Parts: sequence; structure tokens; C-alpha cells
Amino acid sequence: MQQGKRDMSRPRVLVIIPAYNEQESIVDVVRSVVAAGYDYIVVNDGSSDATLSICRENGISVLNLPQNLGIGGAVQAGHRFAQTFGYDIDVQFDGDGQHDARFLDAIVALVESGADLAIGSRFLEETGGFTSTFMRRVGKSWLSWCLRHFAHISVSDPTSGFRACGRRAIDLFADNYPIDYPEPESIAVAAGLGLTIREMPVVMHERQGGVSSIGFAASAYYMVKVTLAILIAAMGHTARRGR
Amino acid sequence: MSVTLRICIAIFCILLAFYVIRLVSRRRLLLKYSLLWLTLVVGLLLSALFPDCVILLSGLLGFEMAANFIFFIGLFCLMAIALSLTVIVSRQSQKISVLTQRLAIVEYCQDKRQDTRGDA
Repeated sequence: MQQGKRDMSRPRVLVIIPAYNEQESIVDVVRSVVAAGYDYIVVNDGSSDATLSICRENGISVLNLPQNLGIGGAVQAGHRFAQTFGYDIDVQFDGDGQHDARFLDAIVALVESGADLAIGSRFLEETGGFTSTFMRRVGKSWLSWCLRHFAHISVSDPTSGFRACGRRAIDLFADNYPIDYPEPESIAVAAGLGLTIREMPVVMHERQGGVSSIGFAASAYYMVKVTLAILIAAMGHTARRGR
Repeated sequence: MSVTLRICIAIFCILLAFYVIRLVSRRRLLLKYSLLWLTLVVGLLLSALFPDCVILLSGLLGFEMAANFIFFIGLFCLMAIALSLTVIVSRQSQKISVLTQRLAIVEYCQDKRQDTRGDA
């Protein structure tokens, strides 16, 4: 035990950085997290570009998935990693430069103060910054409505990928995490199991490079699938409670 | 149903059964999945050999023509098989995902150990 080196009363925090073809942005993102003073792991989700070799050249720790699993599989691998190495809190932080390391302290503090799942929201306050297109905002309002009515949880930014998890949420998500478009569905599952979910305002930027994981053509499929996923997650909860 | 047609169906069934058994013996099809197909083949064979039973049964169930009854049963069986296949595919993709994640963590640990050995 290196007693002097680390304050034992502080929780161990891991920043999970999922990266799929993020060769332009990954080094800057990792540097910003290191500068903020956090442990991190980049989860390379079977990238077909130079993401992996760039990480190795720059001495960045990488959890390298031998094949592409999608964002859900990559984040779940991060939760498993946090669980395996005994972290108390993990923070999901995108590898594309959308998220700002300035907010890491605040989102970790929110988990320390009792939240199982803390979500960084673009819409909680007028924080300025990048809030995505009009159609995306309409979609988010719909998902918020679904979560409020079916999962009984009020979340202003259900698709936010800037989230922190405490031990309970890490254990839940390490075992059970949706494959694609995972954020709203995982909120419904966590709410159904009685986890405490809190939000805090954050500012997000436009992506530095790469391509968004959701193209315009996939939007309709996305909305139908996530709505169904929330409904099924909420139904599963009702069934369990009824038993 | 003409005798020629019945003989043709019977031959087709026997060939299909042999093919399924050969797939199993060459380990290209798991025994537990072959049972599904063998049951279907036996059913088809029986209905070709004893068409009167099929006609009687379809009449009892209220089908106007025995052919409709056979189509209905065939479609139902194929849908059940297709559904069970998607269940199997889903289970496998979950297992592959878990294996991929575990493998990544094991490789990470291995690299770490090599690095520390290299430093020492």
C-alpha cells in the first residue's frame, strides 16, 4: 500500500474514453483528462484508422477490443475494467473532443454526494455551447417524455454521453448494458432498479474530428428502437415489482 | 394426391433426412438443432405416406382444403424456426461481446506485466 502517495479517503476514479476512429482527437482528449488529474483508460472499439497506433506511440493506456462492438460494448468494457481494478467511480468521457474535462470534478463530486448515476446535461441551464440541431433536440424531448412517463425519472438530456457512475451503477452496467444507442435505455434500467440518478449542467463542444455515430438516415430507426427499449425496460421493472 | 407425387415427396424427405444426418456427422450442424429438421421431415413423410390422416385432420380443424392445412402448418413451423434462430443469434452476439471485453482486459493485464518486467 502506498499510503503516502494517495489520499485513502478519496474514492478511486477512472475516466473511460471510448474511441472509435478518433485519430484526430484522441491525444488531445487524453491530455485534457490527465491534466485534470484523473486515471483514464481509452477503449479502442476496433477502430479501422490509426487510433490504436497513435495511442501506443504516445504511451496512452488502451483497452483494445479485438473487434468492433459499438459504443455500448465499448463503454461496458470500460465498466468491466473499472470493476476488475476496483475503482469506486467511473466517468464516461467521449474520445471525440465533445466533452470538457473542466466538468470532471463536479460530476465526480455529484456521485460522491450520493448519486449512483450522474449525467452531464446540456439543457439543464442555459450554459451556452453546442446543443446540437433542432431535430435532435425534438428527439431528446421525446425521449425525456418517455423516461418521465414510463420510467418515472426526469432527465433533461437523456442521450448525454458524459456520465459518472458509482459502485452500484458500475456493477449493474458491467453485467448489463445495451449494445447500441445505450444511454437512454440504461437510464430506464437504472431507474427501474431504484438507483439514484442526478443531473448537472455541462457545456459540450462540437466534435473535433471523425463522424457522429448517428447519421440522419438512422434517426428514425434510432427513435423507434430507443422508445421500445425504454418501454421494455420499464415493463421489466413493473413485472419484477409485481412478483 | 397422385401416387407419383407421394413417391416424389417421400424420396425428397429421405434425401433431406440423409443430408441433415450427414451435416451432423461432419460437425457442421449441432445434433440439438438437427432434431428440429428431422421432426419436420418425419412429419412430411408421414403425411405423404398417409394422406388420408391429413385430410381427416384438416377437416376436423375446419380447413376447407387439405392443402391450406399443410401450408398453414409449414408456414407456422418455418416461423417458429426463424424465431428460434434469432434467439440463438442474439445469445451468441451477447456471448461474443462478453468474450471480446474479457479478452481485451486479459491482454491489457498481460501487456502491463510485460512492461513492468521490461523496466526491471
